[in-house]
Amino acid sequence: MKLLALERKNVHAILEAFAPHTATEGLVPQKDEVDYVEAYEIIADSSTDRARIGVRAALWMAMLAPMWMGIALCTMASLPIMDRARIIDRMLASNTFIVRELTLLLKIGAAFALMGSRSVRARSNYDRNAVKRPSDPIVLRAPVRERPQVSLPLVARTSSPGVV
Amino acid sequence: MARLMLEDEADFVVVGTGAGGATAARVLAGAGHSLIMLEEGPLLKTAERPKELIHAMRRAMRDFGTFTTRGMHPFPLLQGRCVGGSTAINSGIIWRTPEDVRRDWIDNYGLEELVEEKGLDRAFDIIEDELGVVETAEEISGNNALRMKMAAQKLGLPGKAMARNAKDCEGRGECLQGCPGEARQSMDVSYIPRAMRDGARLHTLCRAMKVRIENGRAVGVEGLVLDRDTRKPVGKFFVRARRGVIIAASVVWTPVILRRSGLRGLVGERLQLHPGSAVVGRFPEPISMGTGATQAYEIPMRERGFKIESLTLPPEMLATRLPGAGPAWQKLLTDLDHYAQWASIVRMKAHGTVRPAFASHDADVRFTPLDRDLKVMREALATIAKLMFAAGATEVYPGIARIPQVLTDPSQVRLIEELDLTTADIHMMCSHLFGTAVAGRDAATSVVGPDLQAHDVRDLYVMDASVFPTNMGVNPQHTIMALVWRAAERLAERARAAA
Ligand SMILES: Cc1cc2nc3c(=O)[nH]c(=O)nc-3n(C[C@H](O)[C@H](O)[C@H](O)COP(=O)(O)OP(=O)(O)OC[C@H]3O[C@@H](n4cnc5c(N)ncnc54)[C@H](O)[C@@H]3O)c2cc1C
Repeated sequence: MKLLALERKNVHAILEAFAPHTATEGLVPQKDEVDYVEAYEIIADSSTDRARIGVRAALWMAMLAPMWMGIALCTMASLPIMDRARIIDRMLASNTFIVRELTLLLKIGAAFALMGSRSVRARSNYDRNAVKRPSDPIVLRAPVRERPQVSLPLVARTSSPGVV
Repeated sequence: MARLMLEDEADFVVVGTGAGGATAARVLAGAGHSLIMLEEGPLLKTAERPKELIHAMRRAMRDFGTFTTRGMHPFPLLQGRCVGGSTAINSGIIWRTPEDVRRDWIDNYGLEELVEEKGLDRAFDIIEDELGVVETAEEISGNNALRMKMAAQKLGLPGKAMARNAKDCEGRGECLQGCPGEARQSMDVSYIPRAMRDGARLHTLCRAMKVRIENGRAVGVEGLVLDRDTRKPVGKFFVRARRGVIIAASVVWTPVILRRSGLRGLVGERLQLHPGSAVVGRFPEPISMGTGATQAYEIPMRERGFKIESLTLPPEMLATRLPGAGPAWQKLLTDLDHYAQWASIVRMKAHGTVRPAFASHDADVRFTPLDRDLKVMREALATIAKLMFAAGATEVYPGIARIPQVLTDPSQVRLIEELDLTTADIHMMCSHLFGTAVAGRDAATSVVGPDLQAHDVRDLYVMDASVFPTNMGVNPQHTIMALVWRAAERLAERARAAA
C-alpha cells in the first residue's frame, strides 16, 4: 500500500501513542526503537482488499479524531504523544462498534510492531522463564470413543518435499 | 498478464493440499495412480519459515487472517494458504468423530458406507499410526495448560490432555509459525512428501479457477499461475485429469470453484462453523505461556454446545488482547509471562452461505449466529472466567464490551452471565468450518454422494471439510482425513478395476 506523506507521518504518530516513549512506568519503548510504519504496511499489504480499506479507514478515522471528537482542529500527528494516547484509549472504549473495531486494527499494528522488536520483546519478559524440555510420548487414549490402544509407533518422520 | 502457460496431465488432479487434499494424494499415489496436486500457496520449507510472527502470518496464513464474514459484525475465518493448507498452521489436535455425529450422518444423510464404524475406525487407526498421534505429556504441556487442568479439577469439569499428531513435540509453542522440529505432522511434512515419493507431482502457486467439464464429466482444472511475492497472476495453467478431479480447497474456496464451474443447487449452502472467543487471566506467579505446547489441555462440554481449550498466544497477540492503550496498557505489558489464555469454541446451529464474490477473486461468506448460539458463547466465556479465578488469577480480562474490561472478583462473572450478549460485544474468530458441498444419498439435499462424487458431474469429487453434513463440536482435521481416506481408497480400487 502506497502511503501519502501525511498518512505515513500519522501512522507513526498514532501507533507509537499506544505505548508512549515518554511514559514513566511499564513497558516503555525508546524513541524510534520500533518501526511502526513497516508493521502497518506489511499488515495492509497482506490483507484482503476489503480489510485494506478498513486499515486505511482506521488510519483516517484516528488521524482526524482530534477534530471529530471536538478536541482540536488538527490531525493526531500535531498533538503531544500523551494526548494521542488518551484519545486512542477513548476510541478503544467507544460505544460505537465501528470505532472500537477500527481502533483495534491499529492496536494490532502497534502490538505487532512493538513485540516484533527484539529489545522490546525482551523487556516484556514474555520469554523470561521460557524452558524447552523434550519428553517421551505416551500412548494415545481414545479421544471420544473407546478404541484399542495404538501399540506400534509410528511412521518414519518425513522431511519437506524437495522437488516441486 | 505474462504468457506463461503450464500444462500437465495425470490420472487424478487434486486441488488443495490441506487435510483433505493431502490425504487423497497420500492414498491415491500410494495405490500407484499418477497424480498432480495444485496448491494456491507457496511451499514453505520448515527451515525457511520465518519465526517473527508478522512474517510467519504473511507467508502462511490466508490474507494475514483478515478474511472475514460479511455483514454488520464481521469476524475472521482463519485458514492456511501454503502447502499443507490449514494443517501447516494448526495445533494438531486430534479427535475421532463423536458417535452421535456419526449416527446422525447415517440416519439423516444416508452416509452408512462412508462412516460405517469398522471402516472408519480402521482409517483412524492408520492415520494415527502414520501421523504419530499421542496424548500430550505433562512435561511439555506448559503452565497455561496445567493451570487449566488444576481449575477443571477444582470445579469438577471434564478436562483431559489433548491428543495431537505431534509425537516428538518439545513444547516450543510455535505451531502457528511452523513447528521448528517438524514434530507436528502437518501435511507439508507428512502426507505430501510421502505422496511425492510415490510419484505425485506438486504445482505450487497455482490457483484453480474452474473445473473443465465435457459431456457431463470432469476432465481437468483450469487456473492462474501466481507470482510468489505479489500473488498476482503471471500465467495460466490447464491440467488434464484422465480419471478424476478432486476439489479439496476448503469450505470457503471449494464452493467458489464449483460454482464457477457451473454447479449450482446446494453448492455454497449449509455453511456451519465453530466460532471461538477467548478470556485472558493474570496470575501472581509466572505462567510463561511461551513454554509448552501451543495447545495441550481441553474441557469438552459437547452436551452444553462448547469446548474450552488452552491456547498459547505469541506476545504480539497477547499484547493486542490486553485492554486499553497508553500508560495503563504499558503497565500490563511488563510481565507478559504472567498471563494465561483459554479459548472457547462453540458448536453453532446457524447456517450460512458462501458465494463467489462479484468481479473479483474473493468469496462472499455470510454467517449470523442465532440467539441460542450467543447464549452458548456467553456460557462458555463465563465458564472460562470461573476457571481462571479457580486457577488463582487475580485479574480476568473477558474481552466483552459493555462489562468492565478487568474483573477482579469471582462474583463479577455474573456480569457475563447476565449480559444479553450480541455479536457486537465480542471478538470472535473461526478456524473450524464445515459444509458448503455436503455429502448425502439424496441428490435433492446434497451436492456429493456417499462416494464424495458430485451428483451432477461424473469424475468430479469433493474431498475436504465441505462435505460434512453438520458441524461436530470437536476439532475437525481427523474426521476430514478419515472420510477422505475411505473415499479415496474406494476411488483407487474403482480406478484400478477400470484400468
Ligand atoms: C489456526 C488454526 C488452528 C487449527 N487447529 C486445529 C487443530 O488443532 N485440530 C483440528 O482438528 N483442526 C484444527 N484446525 C482446523 C483444521 O486445520 C481444518 O479444519 C482443516 O485443515 C481443513 O482441511 P481442508 O482440507 O478442508 O482445508 P485446508 O486445510 O484449509 O486446505 C485447503 C487448501 O486449499 C488451498 N486452496 C484454496 N483455494 C485454492 C485454489 N483456488 N486453488 C488451489 N488451491 C487452493 C489452500 O491454499 C489450502 O492449502 C485449525 C485451523 C486453523 C486455521
